[in-house]
Formats: sequence, C-alpha cells, structure tokens
Amino acid sequence: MSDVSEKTTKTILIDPVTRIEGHSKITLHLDEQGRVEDARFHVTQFRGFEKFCEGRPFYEMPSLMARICGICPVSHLIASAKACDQLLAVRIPPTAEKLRRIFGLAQVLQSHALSFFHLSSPDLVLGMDGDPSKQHLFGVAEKNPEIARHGIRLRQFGQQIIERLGGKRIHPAWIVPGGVSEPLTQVNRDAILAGIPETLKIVEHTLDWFKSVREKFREEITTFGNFPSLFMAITKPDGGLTFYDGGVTIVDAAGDVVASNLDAAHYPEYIGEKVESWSYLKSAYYKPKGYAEGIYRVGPLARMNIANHCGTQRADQELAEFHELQRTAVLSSFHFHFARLIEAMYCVERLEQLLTDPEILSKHVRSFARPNCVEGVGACEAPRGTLFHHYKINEHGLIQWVNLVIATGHNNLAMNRSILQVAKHFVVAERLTPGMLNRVEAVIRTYDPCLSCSTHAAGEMALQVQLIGPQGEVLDEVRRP
Amino acid sequence: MSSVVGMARTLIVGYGNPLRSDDGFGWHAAQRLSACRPDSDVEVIARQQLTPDLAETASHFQLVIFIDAARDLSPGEVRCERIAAGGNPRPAETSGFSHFLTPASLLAWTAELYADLPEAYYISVGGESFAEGETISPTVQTAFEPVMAQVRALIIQK
Repeated sequence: MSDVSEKTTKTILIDPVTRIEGHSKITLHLDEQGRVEDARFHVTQFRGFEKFCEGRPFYEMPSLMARICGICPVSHLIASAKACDQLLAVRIPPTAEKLRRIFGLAQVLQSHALSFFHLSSPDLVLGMDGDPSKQHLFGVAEKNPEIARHGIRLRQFGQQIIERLGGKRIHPAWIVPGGVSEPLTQVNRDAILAGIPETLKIVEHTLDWFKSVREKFREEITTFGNFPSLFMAITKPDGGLTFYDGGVTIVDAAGDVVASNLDAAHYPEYIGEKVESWSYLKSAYYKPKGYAEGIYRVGPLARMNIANHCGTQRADQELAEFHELQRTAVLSSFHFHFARLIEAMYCVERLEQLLTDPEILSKHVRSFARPNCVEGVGACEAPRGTLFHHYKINEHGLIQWVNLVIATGHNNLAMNRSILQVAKHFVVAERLTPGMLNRVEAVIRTYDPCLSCSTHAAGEMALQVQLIGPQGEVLDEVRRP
Repeated sequence: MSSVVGMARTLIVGYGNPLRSDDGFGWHAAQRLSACRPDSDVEVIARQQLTPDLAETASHFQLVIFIDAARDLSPGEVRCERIAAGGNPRPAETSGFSHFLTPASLLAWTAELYADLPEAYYISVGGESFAEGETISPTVQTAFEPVMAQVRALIIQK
C-alpha cells in the first residue's frame, strides 16, 4: 500500500509505487492453540476509476472503462455502453445488440480459457501437492501437452474474434454508446465460423478430461468454499442463461428462488457495499439479509445454479449433469471449474447461432442521439459474474458520479469464507507447507478474481500468505512471485 | 496490424508498450514494417507483450524475428542475437499470469507443443526513457533504420 503525499509544488508523490498487477495478500489468524480462527483476503491495489472519470464527457466512458481490465475489457465496454444507451435513451439496432453479444461471448470464452487452462490447470494436471517449481503452464506443457495446446488454442480463438471485430485484442473501442462502430464483414464472419468445429472439439475433450480427473479432488470438493450462500446472476425472463441482458435472479442454498427478474437499474435497492479497513475491494451483500448474512456468489457457479437452461444443445446436456451434482444448489466452489467449461461450450455454440443469423451482416449498427437522461445503469454478466456500471451526468453530458460493482466484489465475502474453510481444514501446524499454500491459492483461483486490472509493467501476480499468532505477531510468511 | 496466419515464410513480432515511451520501440517498428513490408511473404504482428498463443503462430513460419526495447544497451544501440530455444523459464514467466514471456521460452513452447522450431532472431534496441509517453526518444529513433536494415538482411539471408 502506498503512502501518498502532496508537495507544495503540486507534485504528487506516491511512494512506493507498488506493482499492483493483481497484488493481494492473505492473512491467517491463529488462536492460542495454534488453530486457524480467521482468514482474510486483502486486495492492496487501488485503482480509483470511479473518481478520475468525474468531469469527463460521458461518451468517453466505454473506452475509459475498458482500461479497467486487460482480461475482461469487453464486459466493461458492454456495461458502460449500456449505461450510456440509457443516458441517450436510445434503442440500439437489433444487429448491434447481436454483435455486442458476439463480442461478449468471445471474451467470456478467452477469459474462461485463461482461468481454466493457464491458471488452474496446473493444480488439476500436476496435483495440489505437486512440485511448486513446476506448478505453472510450462509444467502442464511437459506433463500433458494436449491440455496446454488446447488452452492456447481456445484462448486464441476468443481473442481472434475480438481482434476481428474490434481491431485489437485488448481494449478495443468498437462498442460505443448507441451500438457498435462498424458492421461485421462477411470475410470476418466466415473466418470465425470456420473455427467453430475445432473449438467445439476442444471444449468437449476438456470436459471429458476434467470429469475423468475430478474424483481425485474429492477432499477439495468437500472443503473448497463448500458452504451455504445465496447465488446471483442476470437471467433471461424464462430463467435461461444470458451474458447480455435480463433481470437479476437470486437463489438460496437450497436452490429456491429468493428474488427474480429484479431490475438491474435498481441494484442499490438490493445490493449493499461495505468497505473494510483491510482491503480496497468492496464487499457486496444482499441488502434484505444484511451484512454479512447477505453473502452471495456470482459467476459461472451462480449462473449454472440459477439457469434452468442454456439454450444450446450440448451446453444443456452438461447443465443437466451439473444439476445432478447436488439436489440443492451446487455449493462447492471447486465446481466453478465445471461450470466454467459448460459456459465455454455454450459460448461456442451460441457464437455459431448468432453468426448464422440472417441479420448479422446488416449495416445498421448504431443509433445516434444527444443525452436525454442524467442517470444510467448498465449491467451484464462478465466472465466472473454480474457487472454494474452506474453513471450520473450533468446537462452538458459530463460525468458527475460513477459507481462500479464488479464481480470480484460480489464474491469478496465468499472468497474470504472459502479461504477460512480451506485453512481450517488443511493448516494443522504452525508451519506452512507448499501444499497448504497452494490450496489456499487454488480456492481463490476457482473464483477467478480479477485483481489484475490493466497494468502490465511488472507482469507478476504476487501472493503473500502470513501466519499470525494470537498476539498479532507474524509467525511465518510465504511469498509467491 | 496483420493478422495471423498464412503460408508466409517470415514472421516479425514487434512488441512493447507504446504508452511507455521507448518501451514501445518494437511495437512502433512493427507498425512501420507493416506499412512497407519487404514482400508478401512476410507477416508482421505488433503486440504489447508476448503471449502463449504466439507459440502456435510461430509454428507456421520458417523464420521468426522479434523486435523489442532493452534496458541493458545504450540508447539507440542495436543488438541482434540468434535465439536458442529452451532452457528453464525465468521466474516471472512462471508466475501464472503470462504477462512476461521471453522469445526463447516462447519458441521452446513452439518446439515442445507443435514439434516445430523456426530459425529465430531477437533484435533489441537500447531505450532511454520508459516513462509514460507516446513518443520515442530522438536518440532511440535513430535505431529504426538500422533495425529495418537488419530485418531485411535476415530475410534475404534466409
């Protein structure tokens, strides 16, 4: 965390400038008997987007917001553009909406590939107690090159779609208030469609492989964030899976609907945000149940728990299998992995549906207007969960106030509880072991938290685990660069 | 930016952060090369960083040339090295976030995963400023011509 001071010369000194690319730390607090009694996941980076956008013209917001994240810029583009659509009070052309959906699905696909293959597959291929020096994608490439190849190809496919539509893979500015800036060309449509069969096979193979190794992780399934909570996602009015538009649905641990078809624009009525002194990540909670009883989870696990159908053939088959895992809602966060792969299948199938839509090459892809409202809320399902962008502007169209509720914030309470559950189960001595450290990290990875927003200078995602005694003394500390 | 991948013999990957002054030298070099490619047998890609998917891309080419900025050279100094793929990845490459990858490690993946090892070179240019900024320092700008000449020589030699 940085000390910030302002000199009389108006030079702002930030010292030290920490490499905030996904920096976080975990503290485990022990009781007098040396048992874990509390655990905290500290996010120590501060971005400040909500403040420094104030005063900017509203139409700059999608491009500015895309800079929040290098992995899911498209979700921020979509949520931001939808908020701006509300400011304009326009209905965007049908083809523009379909193109935005394609853009979003491509991003979910590449992001899920990153999460599953690049970040989590080392745990699954090499084991939770594997050699820490091999616990990375290089190690996966040695042990199971096919999984590594598939991870690279799947992510490449999603990114190439984004590049074809948006002109570049990261921070494309193709989605704009009122629609998209350019129509889809037939050349690009056909090129994307040509990659669908190979990609479907990759996802099918990965699902089969994952199911073949899943039983090796019975202990992790039992202890990785396996507790009752609420689940939240945007769904279609009929309860189907969607990433773009719909009402907010909340189900409880039994799988029963707590609230359905809530208006995303009214999120402050049912979502509260609490700030804890030990983290820059806000903790969201379901207001009617209060803090912290209103703990809920978002993202693939929540979407699969809530959706009664995906709307594509193969994903629906997998969803039925997912729902057979547990009679109630599926509670273990380990099953985020399965849910993520089902969504990858859905993305590929849905991409094909949208790309073969007869209107998809229409040239009418943008509506134009001046601002007609002073407040707008845009919401969508980002890879990691529900995303809200909320803007207020003045009569000149300048941003006056911004609030962002990001998926990782929704999951913050659940991630903290998950760490505690894993630590209580696996930490049995005062000394940390690599296997224990890896499991504490691995449960966080299941949520695929997006701490690593858009700063690329260092390229290191540091994780620090501290063991703290009853008097607050640091007994042990492990850092993973 | 050229997109991947055809039957071209040579792939040029210029990379770096164009918002970090001289760090963006490779990115700018790729833009220039895209505008005046020596022939159609060359694909040029501009990237902010090397990513694992380029391992697959590289497997389609006979010659791969990487262009990047360097801190261990004098400003504007140009160095061209033949890349020997392999060796253990550097710690930052195994951090799990794939934001740091060396050309050698990338090509090691190409060899291991795609059974192909193109001839490869790494052209690096000493930077002067890596602060926020969208322009290349005047001293470092003088390296564009020698780099273009080096690229042409490597292609002709191949």
